Amino acid sequence: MEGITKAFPGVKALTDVDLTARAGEVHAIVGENGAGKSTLMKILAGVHTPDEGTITLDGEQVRFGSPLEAKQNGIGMVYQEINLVPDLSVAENIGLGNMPASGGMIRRKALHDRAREVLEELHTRIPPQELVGRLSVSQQQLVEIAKIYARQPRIVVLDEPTSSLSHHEAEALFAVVERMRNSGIAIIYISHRLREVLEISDRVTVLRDGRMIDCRSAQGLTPKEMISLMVGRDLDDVFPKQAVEIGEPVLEVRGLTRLGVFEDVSLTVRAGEIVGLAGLVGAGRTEVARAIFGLDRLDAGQILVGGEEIRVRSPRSAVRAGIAYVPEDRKRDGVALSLTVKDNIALPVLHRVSTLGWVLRRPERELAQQKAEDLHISPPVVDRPAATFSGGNQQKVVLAKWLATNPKVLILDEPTRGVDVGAKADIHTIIGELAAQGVAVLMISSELPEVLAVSDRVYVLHEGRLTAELSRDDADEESVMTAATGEGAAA
Amino acid sequence: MNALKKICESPAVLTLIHYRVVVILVVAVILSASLVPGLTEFRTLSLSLDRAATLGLVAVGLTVVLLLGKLDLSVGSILALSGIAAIGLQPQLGQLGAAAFGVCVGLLAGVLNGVLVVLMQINSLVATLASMIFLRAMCHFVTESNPISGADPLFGLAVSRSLGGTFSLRTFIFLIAIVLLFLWLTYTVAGRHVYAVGSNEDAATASGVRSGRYIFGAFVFSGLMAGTAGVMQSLATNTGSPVFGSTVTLTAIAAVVIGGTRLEGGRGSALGTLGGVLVLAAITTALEYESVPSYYQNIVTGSILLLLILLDRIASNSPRSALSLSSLLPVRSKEQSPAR
Repeated sequence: MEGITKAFPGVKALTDVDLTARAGEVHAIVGENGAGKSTLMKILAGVHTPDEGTITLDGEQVRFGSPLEAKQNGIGMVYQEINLVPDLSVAENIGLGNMPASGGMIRRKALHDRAREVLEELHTRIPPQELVGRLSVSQQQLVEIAKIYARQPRIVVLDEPTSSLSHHEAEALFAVVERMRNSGIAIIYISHRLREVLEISDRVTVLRDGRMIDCRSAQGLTPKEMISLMVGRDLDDVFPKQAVEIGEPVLEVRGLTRLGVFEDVSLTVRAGEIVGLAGLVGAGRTEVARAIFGLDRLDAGQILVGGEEIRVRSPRSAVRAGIAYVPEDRKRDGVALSLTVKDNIALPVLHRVSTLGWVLRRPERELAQQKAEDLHISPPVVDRPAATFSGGNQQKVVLAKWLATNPKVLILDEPTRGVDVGAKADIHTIIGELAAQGVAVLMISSELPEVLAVSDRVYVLHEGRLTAELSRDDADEESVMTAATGEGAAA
Repeated sequence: MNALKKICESPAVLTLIHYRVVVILVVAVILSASLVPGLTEFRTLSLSLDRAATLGLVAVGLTVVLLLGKLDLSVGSILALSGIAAIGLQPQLGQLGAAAFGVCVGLLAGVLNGVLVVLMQINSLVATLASMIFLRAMCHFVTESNPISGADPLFGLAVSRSLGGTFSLRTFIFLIAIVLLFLWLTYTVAGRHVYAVGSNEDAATASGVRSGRYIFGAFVFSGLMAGTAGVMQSLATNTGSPVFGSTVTLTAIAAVVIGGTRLEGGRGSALGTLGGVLVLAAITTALEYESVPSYYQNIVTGSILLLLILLDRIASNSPRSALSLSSLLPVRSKEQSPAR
């Protein structure tokens, strides 16, 4: 791709960007949210047409008018969201749009054989006859890749493929990527996880504000260098940690049990304390958080806020007790995309800015504006629908919404997933400030370095049970991973 | 292509698209005024409004249901059943008593829908399809499939007669309902919650909004409005008929959608619904005056609906790709809906 320029009404998304992907290499693209990575990939995939610039494929200039044309030319895209049909089997999903058939009837055996072949080539152990809806997220991701791989693409684009995977599962994915590379496919890899980028890629292109900043060999590059290229300044510390005086217990959870999901989970979070909840995906971290917040039913256990037991039947009662929950799935449980930022932020506190059921518009607006500014939501225009903001800013909107409730307990579930480096630092700073104000913070994250850097204490879950409680000094990647994989002795 | 693109993206055009309901309404009124002599006279206007009031009341109820991202197909059946109750029970309950009972029938039907959708978690389309069929059958059952009439044809006149030379009672009720709905949706906490639930039910619930209650309430309200419309319709004609309201459901949904409320929920307004109802009323009046068969009216209605939906896509604030009219010209990209 050469000299690609693309403008949308009001924004110039890409300016004169070059990108070369060679057969048999993994080429990473990094940059903050809004740097133009997605736009560039959508141009490659034929979703958008460039205003200027050319795309050359195997020495031949091409122009894709539609995603289908791109697909036919051997471009395979694996998006962040999984695009599989949950009610069809793995084999059917892999064959979808390209079913082996004779006379309109599907040749089931050929379909299954081909799926099995592809899955074996990628060294995955997923049964082709299983329904996709029954697979874990990481397995679905692999099916998605297998589906693309089955069409024998020349270029495969992976957009944030590991954002919902645990460390372990990511390793499995890397192995698959490796295999695709070795079979001569050019792989374009987009990720916010810089270590992962260094681990897997041969070359790295850095985008910033729609321009190509640099293209380097991954060899010898450090995360720190990449960050400074991405943000255009040096970040001294990716995870700033403030020293905060830790007070009385605010959230106490005793013997929390949800049959078949987690069992006998007890934890304490004190005022001003940031407690990490670590574990592999599927260990029950999110489920524990959802249960504390009243989104899921509990079978046993007590929840105490400020020393008093509360009965959490619904999120409503949790909110009343002073608990706030920033959910894992931002688009499902977090933001109402078609509502404005103002409406989103004011939603849980409308009763505070109203009399007798009538919303007082000025206080409502002032509240939203204030929170938007506090959290550096950009642009700070609260009258625009949340859908028009980037992922990082949507996440800030969710945070702003909960900060408006002045919570005593803040539960954060993957607060920086899919968020760019700048916004991530902002979010960490905000979390730190909240703790300094005496909020008890419980944070779930799949990024171990993040958990370790931010937390005062870390609980580790393994298959629904707490396996370790580690102080900041004792917690390191090794000790947490040992507990998370259930290797260590139970704490 | 580029010139077209430029025109489409000019601020003037975008503004027109933003106020598309008003634009269409003005066009419809001008057209019908030029076709129907004396339409602009107050008396004619008042009459055509009176005819639109039934549709309007049903549309008011549906607006809330649609804002919440649900659908109520049973309003036509509710309308007929309430009307039958209001006429058929006159000997037992008296005229006012029967009318009140008719309204209650609508309310109860709404409760039934609420139970099906909220408590039993049945998809609203399926649930109200079932209650539509069921309630329609009840209409035929209690009337033995014959229209029934009341003893005193003069009683119902009050509903459709203009009050002191202005509008009819049901027109007033419709207009008041629109104003109240507008105020409620725009200025109250509850109204704000309706938009939030419609935009993203899970997020609203997670924010402490009792989403289920709003949805339940919306179906009850919708039933109430359909019941009210049915009672007045039956009183005005002094007839309860098992086939009343057989087309009103889809026309009312069309009116609400023309008014800018989207079926996915979360966006729309009471004033838009007023606009949608008036557009359809103007067209109906004009085409009936010209003795155009009613299926032609439906062609016009269908075309307007499609046109507005296309315009809505442009005006909708979905990010990037759908921002401009020009985005409709080339092949459209696969769009991921925010509410999955």
